[in-house]
Formats: sequence, structure tokens, C-alpha cells
Amino acid sequence: MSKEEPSRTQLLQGTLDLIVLQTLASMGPQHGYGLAQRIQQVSEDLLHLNQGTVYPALLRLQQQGSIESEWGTSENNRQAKYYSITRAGRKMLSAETERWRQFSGFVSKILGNPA
Amino acid sequence: MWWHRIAWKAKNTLYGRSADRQLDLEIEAHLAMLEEKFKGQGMPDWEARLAARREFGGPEQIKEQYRERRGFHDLEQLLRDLYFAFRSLRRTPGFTLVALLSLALGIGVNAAIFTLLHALVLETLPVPHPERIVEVQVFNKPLQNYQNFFSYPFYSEIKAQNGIFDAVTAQWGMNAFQLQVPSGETTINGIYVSGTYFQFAHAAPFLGRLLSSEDDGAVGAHPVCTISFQLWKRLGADSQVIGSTVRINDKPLRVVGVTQPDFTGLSLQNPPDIEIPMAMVGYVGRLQRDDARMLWLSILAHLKPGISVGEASDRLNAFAKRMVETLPGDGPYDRNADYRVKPAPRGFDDFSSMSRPLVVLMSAVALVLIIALLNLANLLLARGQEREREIAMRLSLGASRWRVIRQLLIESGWLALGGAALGYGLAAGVVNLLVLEFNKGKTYGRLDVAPDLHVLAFTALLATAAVLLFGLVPAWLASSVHPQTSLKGASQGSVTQPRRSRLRKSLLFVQLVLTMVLLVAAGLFEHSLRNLRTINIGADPDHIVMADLTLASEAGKRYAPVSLLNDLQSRVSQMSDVVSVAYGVPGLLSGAMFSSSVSIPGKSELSSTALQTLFSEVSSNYFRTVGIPLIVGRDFNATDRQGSAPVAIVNERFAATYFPHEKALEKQFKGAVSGQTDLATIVGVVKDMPYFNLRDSPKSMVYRPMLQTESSWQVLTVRVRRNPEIFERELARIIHNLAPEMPLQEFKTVALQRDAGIARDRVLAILSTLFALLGLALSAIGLYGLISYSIAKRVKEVGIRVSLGANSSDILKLFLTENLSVVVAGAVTGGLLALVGARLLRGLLFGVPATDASSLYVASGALLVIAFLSSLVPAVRAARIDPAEALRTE
Repeated sequence: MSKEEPSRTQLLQGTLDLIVLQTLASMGPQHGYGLAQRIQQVSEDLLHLNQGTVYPALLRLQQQGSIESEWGTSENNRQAKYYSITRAGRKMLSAETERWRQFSGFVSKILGNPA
Repeated sequence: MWWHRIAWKAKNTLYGRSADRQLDLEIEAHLAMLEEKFKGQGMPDWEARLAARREFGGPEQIKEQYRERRGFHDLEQLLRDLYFAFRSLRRTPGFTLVALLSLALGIGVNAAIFTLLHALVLETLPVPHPERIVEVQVFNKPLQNYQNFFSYPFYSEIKAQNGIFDAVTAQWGMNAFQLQVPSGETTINGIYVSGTYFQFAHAAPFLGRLLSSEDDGAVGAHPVCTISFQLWKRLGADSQVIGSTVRINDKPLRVVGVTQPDFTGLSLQNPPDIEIPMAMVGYVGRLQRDDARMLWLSILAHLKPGISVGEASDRLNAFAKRMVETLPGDGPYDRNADYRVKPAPRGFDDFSSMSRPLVVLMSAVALVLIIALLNLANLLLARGQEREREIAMRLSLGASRWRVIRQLLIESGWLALGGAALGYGLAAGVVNLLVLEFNKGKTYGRLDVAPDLHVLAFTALLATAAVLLFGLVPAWLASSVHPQTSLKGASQGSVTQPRRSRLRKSLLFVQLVLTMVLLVAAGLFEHSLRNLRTINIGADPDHIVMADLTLASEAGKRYAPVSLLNDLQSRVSQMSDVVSVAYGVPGLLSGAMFSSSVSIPGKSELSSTALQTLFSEVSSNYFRTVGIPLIVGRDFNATDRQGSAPVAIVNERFAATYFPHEKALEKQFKGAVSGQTDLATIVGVVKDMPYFNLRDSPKSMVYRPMLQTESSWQVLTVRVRRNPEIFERELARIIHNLAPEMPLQEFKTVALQRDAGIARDRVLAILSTLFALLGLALSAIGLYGLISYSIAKRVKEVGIRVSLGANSSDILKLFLTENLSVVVAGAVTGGLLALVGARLLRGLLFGVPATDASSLYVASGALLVIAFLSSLVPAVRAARIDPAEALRTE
């Protein structure tokens, strides 16, 4: 009943981590809501994701030490957890970005030059 | 960065609750902000809340995903699965009990036999390169086998010949010494060792020093000894023991050292309590060390690197043949005898004859284990089928197939754990019983083994393999249900049903085949034992009591004088129930042997080949007492004593060998008594009788009158009418009254003595029968289970049949014959397999052809009867099914 699902989420997960890291790197500390909003905005709804899915990604990144979190107060006076990228996170981001570029370049090359 | 993850997980496992709480807050805030955003876009409250939820996705799923990543989720899940599996096993006690028992039996017997195999075959001496240790042997013509007894001069020459070996040592083992202790005397196991003994064993002292070549220098010069750690403990663990004196056979010896607690000598069983230099053998005992005619010590050697056993044998043979010519005296062995070396990684090993039987037994228990595991697999298959709905439910609730398989494997894991624990306990018990049975009637060559860490590891390995092999397939099948069909349909009629029931039938078939093989093997061994036990060893072996009359410790008076023997004989013959009394050495089948060369005047063509014969020294009335029929001539009598003309009685084989075409009576020969050169005249011929080993074909034998040979050793031999045990007690009292200094004797009936000599065959027969019965019981359980299950699945069908007019005997027949073809096919296949396999048992069987029909009949009979009985019970139950009830059930 759910046989193909793992491979799809797998792909999404990898990319989602990258997107989260990039967002945090360019925008500075964010809470989960802000992050989700931003991602949706930037992707212009091309990538539709349940906003909740950022949380497992945030946890994963925290466990890797790529980001860290801190409780703070939001613009409209709410308790929220703010996430920020770490040095290790930046290093990983550049490495992953490079890999992604290579990969996507390779894919578009193949797709662009059909045999 | 893995440490981040671990630290995180550890923290979160510890503070799991507060982490959950934090996530709740975070999600709450997120939802609220989304809601506000939608409200800002002009949505009404309720719509905004719904939209926020939609936008966020299922908060609970997210939380679960989050949790899975957060702590040691796998570990938590595993613990949960472990607990769940345990509970589900407890819910089905019947299944659990049968499965546990099957496993425990299968694993237990394997661990038990492995215990023996490890202790008696696999373990090697703890020295570097044990594979290069060899024993020196010489071919013995009268016994037609290789012997390992040599003289000290022979040993010295071998040791000096350093081209083949890098170390050579010798011992004379298995001496029962009388050790004087404050409370009296105690018997200890002592050995005489050559000077290289401890160096060869790579042993270090626990206290003091060990014996060296100097201690084995000049004869009688060093009255010293080393004692074992265990004896040291028994003597009070005195730290001042070094330099103290112990009295062995009333001779003082100075203790120079104590061996390490784990030192077992150059053998792995029967560790010595005391080691005495060979130079002192004439001081403690009566042997002369440097007498080249005395063959008493055994030699171990360590091959030089790169020399093969075959090469060493050839070189040793060439060397020894030349060398014995130069030795003084006239050794009892044939000068043309062949020498060889035999690998002896276990050193001096009394149990080398057990290695093949143990390999056979190990194969048998492997079969028992397979039968047990097939039972388990069958049970697990049935259980999987029973739980189809449960599994389908779990699969449809999102459990992955792997998760379900894991769950089922964990259940098998519990079973294996319990089975291994029970099995290990069972093994300890079985080994204990076996050792008792094996040691029955034995003074020497006793067995002392118990399961150890090796066995524990083996058991664990077996249990793990069992789970993986026999738990996996049923788990795989059980997890292959289709949730829809299974949940929709009734518990029966699943798609996989026919496939599985075919699988279960083939498992049963394999069980039956293996059981049949075990049954036939048991039949063969029992038949063989029966043959050995019915060999004629004289009249009434159960009622002939033998007692070794060795006087203890008094210097110069070690053996009973003739006057005492006469007194004893007349006293005993007056006891009630005594039929006949005599003396004779060595005792019938006692494991001791006298052999000597004989020469016959006028038969030079025979004497040139150095005739070897066995001999015995006996009193008058001996033949009547033990029941050896006199064919011609006369028995010994009181006139056959020192000073009168030497006489002898020979057996038929002797007469036929040396006097093939003439009467042996009144013929003369020389020999058969050490040191005597007079010609002895044959005055009688008796029937052949086993002497040393039941299996040997009759050997030529000479009996000499005790009074003419001045025997140094007497065995009182008494034939009683009944109750040898009661008689033994009375006899002990009489001996004590006549000779108070004589130590308490061990009495043995000839039957006991015979059984001690065939311990291997007894153990094989007992164990193979036990294993066959186990296999039979396990197969019966398997068959019973299969039929019960099939009946339970077909209740409805039975109901329909009955309502359509089938009567109960039809139903009975239906289920009785359901597996008939499998049973018959199993019996036939197993029988054929056993016929082929029985060839491997050749040499272990006595007088039983490998194609022994009676074993085959008994085995197939037993299998069919048990199969019938185990089908009958459930079938009768099926026949009693009430059709109305049956049709109502789902």
C-alpha cells in the first residue's frame, strides 16, 4: 500500500534539509513558522509541503549539529523556538550546494541532450 | 558529527517528556500564527483554524516522526517488541511449552554430546604446536594391534636420536598409590615420569620446583616427588609443604614442588595427584628401571618442524629396528616388529577409541535437533496462520513487513533463549548420567567431564542459528498476508493456505525420515550390544565374583602368601551359596594381559618367527569356577607345585596353531612364564575363551599352575549361587578377619568387568536409543499437531460430511489416512537412507550386518505404531464433532 513512498520522502528530505539550511543562512535566525512561510514564498508554491514537515527536518539538522535552537519571543509576542545555522551548518551547506549543483547540472545535461 | 546525534538522543531519552512538551508548544505557536495569518486574509475563525491545520499537516504524524528521530527510538521499540513478544508467548502456554521443550531437548542433547566431543576429541594439550605431538607405537603380533609400552633403555635411545623429534618424554601412568596420611591411608593416582616430562608439558610450578632430568638420573638417588595443586589442598594447603615428606606405599619421598591448579599432566583426563621420577620406580615399587625386558612406559614425542607423521614413522621404524638389536636382554616383543608414530595432540589419551563413536553420536543429535526444529517451524507456521488477522491488522495500521518479521523473530528469540537455558541444564544432567554409566565398574580410564564455557558458547551458537534458520521462513510466510483479503475473509481460506499445508507436510516428511534413520541406528547398536553381551565368557558371569588380593604397603610382603590363600580358599568354600572357589590372574576380562613368546622343540620353522601367546596363571579348580570346559586331559592339582615337573594347559587355538595335525596333549614347549627356561608339558586342552577384549577373535593361550609360577598377584575368583552383593559383604568380613592389613577390596562380577570393557558400546546403545526415542516423540508431537490443526481448519467440512450421511468411522478414516502416505513414504525413505548410512557405522558394530533386517523391521514398526497413535487421538475427536455445532462455527 505504501511501497514507493519511502523513496519519494527520501528525495524530499535531502532537498528540504538543504532548503532549510539555505534559508537560515540567508535570513538569519527563524522560528518554524517563519521558515515554512519563507520556503513556500520562495518556491512560489511549486513545492507544496505540509508546514509541519519542517520540524523533523529541523530536528535532523540539530542532531547533525548544523543548526542550533533557542527559545525567544516572536514579533507578535509569542513564545517560539528560533533556529540559527552553525559554523558546521555553513560548511555543510556549501558542500551540499556544490553537490547539488553538480547533480542537477548532470541531470539537466542528460535531459537537455536526448540520445 | 555522530557524537552530536548521540548526545542529543541521550539527552532526549532522559528528558523525553519535556522534549515532547517543547514540541507541543512549538506546534501550538505555529498553528496559532498560521491561524492569525488566515484571519488576516479575512477568513472567519473556524475556517482559519481548519485552514491552519490543513496547511500544517497532521500534527500527530509530525510528532511521531519527530519522536522516531529524537531518542533511541529503535531501542525503545525493541524493548517494546521484546515485551510484546513475551506477552504473546504467555498468552499461548500450550504452544510455548511444546516449542520450548522441543528446543530444549534438541539443544540439550547436542550440548551434552558436544561436551564429550570437546573434552574427549577436540581439546588438545596446552603446549605450542600440539598437532606435532606423536605417540610411539609398536605392532603387537598376538593381539594384532599397536601397543605403546616400552622399556626405559628403549626410551633413552629414542630420546638420544634427535633427528626426528625436538622433545621426547615418557610416563608410566595409572598407578594407584597408597598415601599415608594422619587418618590412615588414601589411594591416589600417581605417575612415574622421565626427566623431560615437565619441560615437555611446558609446565611451571605453583610452589617450589618441578622434576628435572637430574631427578631421573642415577637409579634410587633422588627420593623426590611433585604433587598436584588438588592433592596439596587435600593435605591442608600447607605453605611449608616444600621439603616435607610424604609416604607413598610406605616409602618416604620429599616434596619438591606443587603443580599449577590447571595442570592435568600430559593427558586431559584423570590428572595425576603425584609425579615420581622413573629413577625411583624400584624404590616405590618393584620394577627395575633399566631392565630392557620390562615394557612399562609410554613415550610421547614432539616432531621437528617440517617432518610429517609418515616420514617420522619411516625413520623411527628404521632406527628402532636397528636399535633394539643392541639392547641387552630378550624383550618380549618380536624383533621384527614394526614401529610407528601416531598423532597424539591430546597426549596420553585413554579415550581415543571414543572419537568415532562421538562423531556418530554428534550426527545423531544433529538429526534430533533438526527434528526438533522442524517441530518448531511447524508450530510457528501454524501460529502464523492463526494470527493472520492480527498480522493483517498490524500491516494495515502501517507496520512495515520487516517490523512484523522482526516481531515474529523476537518471539522465536525468546523461545531460543529459554530453550538454550533449559537445554544447557539438560546437557549437564545428561553428561552426568553418561559419565556415571561410562565409569561403572571402572577403576582406571574413568571419565570426568562437565559442560564448560566452550559448551555454553556452542549452545548459544546453536540457539541463534536455530532462530535464524527455523524462525525466519515461518515469519516470512506469516508476514506475506494480504491485509485486505485476510481481514475481509474468514480466518480460513487464505490464499497461502495450500502452499503452507504442503510445506508443513514436507516438514513432517523430513522429520519422519530422520526419525527412521535414528531408529534404525539405535536398533543396530542395541543388536550389537546384545551380541557382545551374549558372547560366551564362561558360566554365569553375573555370579562370578572377583577380588584383587593385593596387600598394602608392608615392605617385602606386598602380596598374599600361599598359606593365607589356602586359608581363605577353604573358608570361602564353606560359605553358603558358594559353588566353587579358585585363583587366577589376570582376572577374566579385567583389562590386564600377560603375553610372552614360546618356542617348541623340533619346530624351528615356528620358533624362528618368535611365537607370541597370551598366558594366565591359575589355581586348580579355576576352569570349573569360571566355566571353561576342559576338552581333554586333566585340571591342575595340588601336585603341580614348585619343584614338580612344569605343566601347562592350553586352549584349542593354541593346540590348533602349534600342533595342527597332531594331539597337543603331552607335547612340550618353552616359555609363557617370565624367566623360566624349563620345558612345560601340556596336560590339558580347554575351550577358547575371551581374555582381554570381547571383540577379539580367539587367541592362542597358555594356562600355568599358580603354584609353579610363584605368581606375584592373585585374584580370588568365586562362583556363587545367588546374590553376589550380599556375598561380597560377607567376603569382605572374612578377608578382613584373616588379613587385617589387606586394604578394603573392590569386588567385581565378571559381568560388571565385561560391561566396563564395552562401556563404549553400552554408551552408544543407550544414547542412540535415547535419541531415537526423542526423535520419535518429537515426530509424534509434530504429527499430532499437524492433524489437530488440519481438523480445526476443517470443522465445517466435517459438519457437512456428517450431515450428508458420513458416519463417525468415515471421519475417523478420513483423518487417520490423511497423513498415511507421508508416514509410509517417510518410513521407506528413512529406511533406505539408514541402509546407506549404516555403512558408516562399520567397525562400531559387533556381529551385526549393516543391512540388519531386524533393526529395520523394529524401526518401521515403531514408527508406524507411533504415527497411528498420534493420529488416532485427534481423529477420534474429529469423529465426535457434532455437525450442528460444526456448521455454526465461523
